[in-house]
Amino acid sequence: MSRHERYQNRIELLQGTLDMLILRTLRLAPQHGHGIAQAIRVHSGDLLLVETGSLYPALHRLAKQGWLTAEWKVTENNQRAKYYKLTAAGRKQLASEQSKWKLLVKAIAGVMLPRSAGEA
Amino acid sequence: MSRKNRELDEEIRTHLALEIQRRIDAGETREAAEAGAQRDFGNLGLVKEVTRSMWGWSLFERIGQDLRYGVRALRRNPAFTLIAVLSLALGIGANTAIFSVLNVVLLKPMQVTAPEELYRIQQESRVPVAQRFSYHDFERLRDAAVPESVAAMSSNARVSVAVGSGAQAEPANAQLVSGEFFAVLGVAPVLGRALAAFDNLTPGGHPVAVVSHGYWKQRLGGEAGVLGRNILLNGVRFTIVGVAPPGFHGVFLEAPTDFWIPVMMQQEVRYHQNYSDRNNADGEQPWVPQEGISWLDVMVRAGPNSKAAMLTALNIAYQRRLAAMAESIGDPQQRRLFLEQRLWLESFAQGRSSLRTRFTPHLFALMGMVALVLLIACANTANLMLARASARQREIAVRLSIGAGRGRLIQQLLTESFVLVAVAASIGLLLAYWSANALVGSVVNRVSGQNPAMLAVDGRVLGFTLVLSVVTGLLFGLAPALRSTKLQLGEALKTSSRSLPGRSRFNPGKFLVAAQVALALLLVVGAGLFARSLYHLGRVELGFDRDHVLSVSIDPRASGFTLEQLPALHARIIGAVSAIPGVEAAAVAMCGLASECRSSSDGILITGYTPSAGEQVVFQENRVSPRYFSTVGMRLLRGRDFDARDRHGAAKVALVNQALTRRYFANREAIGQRFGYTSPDTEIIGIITDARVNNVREQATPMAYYSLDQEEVHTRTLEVRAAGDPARVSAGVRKAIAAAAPDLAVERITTLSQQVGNSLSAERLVTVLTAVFGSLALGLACFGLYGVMSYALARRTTEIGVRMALGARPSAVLWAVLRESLGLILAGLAAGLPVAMFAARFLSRVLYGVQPWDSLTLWGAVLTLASVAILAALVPAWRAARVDPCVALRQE
Repeated sequence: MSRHERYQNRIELLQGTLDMLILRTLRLAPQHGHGIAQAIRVHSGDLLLVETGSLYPALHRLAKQGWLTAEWKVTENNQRAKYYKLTAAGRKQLASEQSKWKLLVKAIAGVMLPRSAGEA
Repeated sequence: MSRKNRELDEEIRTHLALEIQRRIDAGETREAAEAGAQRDFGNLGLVKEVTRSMWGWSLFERIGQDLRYGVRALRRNPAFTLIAVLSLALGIGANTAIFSVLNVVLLKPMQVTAPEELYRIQQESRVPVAQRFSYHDFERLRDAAVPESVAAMSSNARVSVAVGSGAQAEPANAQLVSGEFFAVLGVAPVLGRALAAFDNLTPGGHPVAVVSHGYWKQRLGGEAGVLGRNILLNGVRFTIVGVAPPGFHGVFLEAPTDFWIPVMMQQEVRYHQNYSDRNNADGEQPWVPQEGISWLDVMVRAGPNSKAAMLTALNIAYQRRLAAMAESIGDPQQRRLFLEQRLWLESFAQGRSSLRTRFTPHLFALMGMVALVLLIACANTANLMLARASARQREIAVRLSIGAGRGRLIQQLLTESFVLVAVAASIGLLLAYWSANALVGSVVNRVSGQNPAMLAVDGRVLGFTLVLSVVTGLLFGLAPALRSTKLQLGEALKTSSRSLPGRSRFNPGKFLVAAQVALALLLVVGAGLFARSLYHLGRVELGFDRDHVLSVSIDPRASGFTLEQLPALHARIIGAVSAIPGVEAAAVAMCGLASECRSSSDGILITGYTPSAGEQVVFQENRVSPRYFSTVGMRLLRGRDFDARDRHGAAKVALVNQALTRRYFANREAIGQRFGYTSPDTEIIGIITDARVNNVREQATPMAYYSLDQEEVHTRTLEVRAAGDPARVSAGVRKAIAAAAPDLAVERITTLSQQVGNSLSAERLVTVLTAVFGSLALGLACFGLYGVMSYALARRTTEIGVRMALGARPSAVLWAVLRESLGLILAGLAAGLPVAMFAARFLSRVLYGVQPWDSLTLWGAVLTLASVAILAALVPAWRAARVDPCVALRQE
C-alpha cells in the first residue's frame, strides 16, 4: 500500500530535464549513479524519484556525448563504484540547458500566472 | 565489448549494494532492504538492455559483429563455403602465381642505388651491327661522359673455380667488368674493396676478384679472412679483394654472378662468348687492345635531367668513331647507312633476363587467362550468393521490416563476401607461393641449367593479391547484396519459400551462367590454340635426326687447349667415342644444334650476284669435322661432302644449305660457284637440306658449312650418333671422353630431342597451364550451370509434380528442363565466340603454325564446351523427369 502512496507523490520528470538534473548534480563533485539519484531525491524534497531504468541509460548516453567521463573509485565504505564527472563540454551544456530551463519556466509562468494579478 | 558489459554489471551491483546499505541505515531489516532495492530497481535485464543501447556501435564493433555473423553464416553452409572458397582460392592463387612470375621477370628492379637511372647503350641501325662494343669503343664513350657514369661488362661466363691448390674445381659464374662497374651501380662492398678504375690499366695485370655474398658465405667460409685469399678461376690465380653486399646478385636475373673480375683479364680466363669480330681481328689474341672485337655491353647512369645531354655526348663521340670506320666502305649507299647508326638508351633497371626477352608475351597471355579464370570463379560465387540470398529472403525481409537499415544489411552481406575472399586469398597465396617457385624453377632450369633463388612473395605481390581480393569481393558480393536487400517487403514475407516469382523477371543467375559459358569458351579456345601450336612445333621438320643423336657440350678453349692442340684432341675424342658399342658415328662442330651458339658473317661477296643498293649479304656459318652431316642426320642433296682432299692449304670449299641457294642462286647451279669475305675464294661443293639449327621456331637462314680440317677453330660440341636410344650410350660417352681427354671439361650431355624439347619448355609450360586453366574454367562453368538448374528445379518441384500428376510425360519434363539449359549454353557460346575470335588475335605472337581464327580449334572448343555443359545440364533434367508427383505434392 505504501508503495502506491509514494507513487502518487511522485512528479513525473519532464522530458529532457533528467539530463539537466544529472549535470547539475555533478557540478560540484564527481558522484556515482546511486549518489546522483539520492541527491536528486533529497534536493527535491523526496518529490523527484529517478528511476534506475532512466538514470543509467541517461548516464551512458551523456558519457557517450562527451559531457561526462567515468572513473572507477572506492566509496567511503570501501565499495568500488563508477564515479561520473562533468567535462568542460558538460559544463557548457549545463549552462545552456539551465538558461533554456529558465526561459521555459518564465514562459510557463507567463501563461499560468498572467501579470494582471488579482485573479487568483 | 564484453569488458563494457562486465563494467555495466558491476555498476548495477554497486547501485544495489548502496541502495541496500541506505535502506539498512534507514532502519529496514536486511531482507526488507534487499527486496526493496530489487523492487525499486525494476527489471534488471531491461535496464541493462536499454543502457547498452545507449552505447551505440563503433564501426569497429559493427565490423566485429558482422565478421562473427558472417563466419557463423558460412559455417552453417559448409558445402557452399567450401565450393566458393575453393574456386576463389584457385582463381586468386593462379593470378598471384602468374603475377609473381611477371613481377620478378618484368617489374622488380635490381637491388642497386636508384636502379631507374641505369641504362644500357643500344645501337639503332638499318645495317646489321654488333650490339656490343670493343674495349676502345667503351673508353671513348666513357671519356665523353661524366666520370663514373659509364661502365663496361661482359656476359656471365661459366668458369671453373678451385679454392686452394689441388682442390676439386667446381663451376661458377664470373662476369668481366670494367673498374667503374660497382661505382656506376652504386653497390658498395660489405668487405674489402670493389673493383675500381685502377683495375683497368694493363691487359693481364689485374688478377683480382670481388666475390658475391652468397658464394662467400656458402663456399668460402664467410669470414673476413677471405680478403687476400687466392683462388683459381679457369686455372688462373686471382686474389679476392672484396665481398659484394647480400642483396646484389649481379645483373643477370636467372644466373646469379659469383665473381666479378676486371675486363683486363679476358685472355687469362679465356673468356670468349658473345662477340663479333671484323677486319682481320684475331679472336685468339687478347681482346682488350683490339678494335675489331665487339664483346662488351656498356651501362650508363643518368638522372632524369641529364639523360638527354648524356645521350648527345655519347652519340657525338660515337659518330666520330663511325666516320673514321666508314672511310673503308666503298659503296656510298652502304656508307650512308653505316653512318646513320645512332645510340639510344634502354632501361637497365632490372638488369638482363633471358626469360624477359623470350617469355614476356607468354606471360601476358597467361595473365589474361588467369584473369578470366578469376572472373568465372567470381561469377560462380556470385551465383551461389544469389541462390543463398533468395533462400534467406525471408530472414532479410524480417530484418528490414524490424528496422535494420539497408546500408547496414549490405555492409553485413559484403562482410560475408570478404570473409570468404580473405580465406580464399590466404589459401591462394600459399598455392601461388608454392607453384610460382616450381614454375619459374622448371623454366629457368631448362633455359640456363641453373637454379634461381629469386622468387619471393614481396610487397608488390601482396599488394596485388590484396587489391585483387577486394575487387573480387566487390565483384561477386556487391550485386547479390544490393539485389537481395531490395525487396518488396510485403510480398517477400507473404510468399512461401517454395513458390517462384514470376517468370518474366530478369534472372541474374542465368545471366551469370551464360557469361561463365562465354568466358570458359575464351579459355578453351586459348588452350586449344596453344595445344595446336605445341603440336605443330613438335612436328616441325627440323632437318636433322633428333631421335638418334647425343649432344655433348664441350669447351676446349675454356679447358685450356690451344688451337694447335685441337686436331689431336678432336681425333682422340672422336676415336674414343666411336669405339663405344652402339655408337655409329661422331663429329665435332663449332656450334651445336638448338643451342645458344650462333655465328654469322656479313659483307659476303658472291660471284655472279649483285646485291641491291644497301643490301647486306649475311651467311650463318658453322665449322664441322668430316662425317658431321651423316652424324646429325642432315642430308646431302647434291655435290659431295668434305673429304680427305679438303686439307689445310688446299682450295677453300664449303657446303651450303637450300635457303642459301634459293636466295642467291635462284636461276643457276650453285655447285662450283664461289663466294668469300674479302674475295670470292671459297667454292661451293655441295648442298645440304635446310635445318632449323638455331631453334624450332626459326626458319633456316642462308648458311654455309666449312671444314675444321681446312681451318681449325675452337669447338663447342661433340655430336654422337647412336644406333638405338642415344640416352643409353650417354654414360659410356662421358667415360670415354674422360679417359681420352681428362683435361677436357664436359658441361652437359643431352639427347638432341631433349635439347629441342628444352627449347620448347616455355611453350609446353604455357600449354599445360592453359589446359589446366581451360579445364578449370570449363568445370566452374558447368558447375555453375548445374547449380543454377538444380536450384531452379528444387523450387519447381511442386510445379513439376502437378504437371506430372496431370499427365505430363517424363520425357516432356526432361526436355523442358534441358531446353532451358540449352538456351543458356547457346546464349553463352553465341556471345563468347566472337569475343574469343577477337581475343585470340592477341595470342598470334606466341602461336606457331596455327592462325588465331583456326576454325578447327574454334569449333572444337565450342563442341567440347557444349557437350560437357549438356552433360552437366542432363543431371538436373533427369532428376526432374523422375520427380514422384506424390512426394512432390505432399511436400507443400
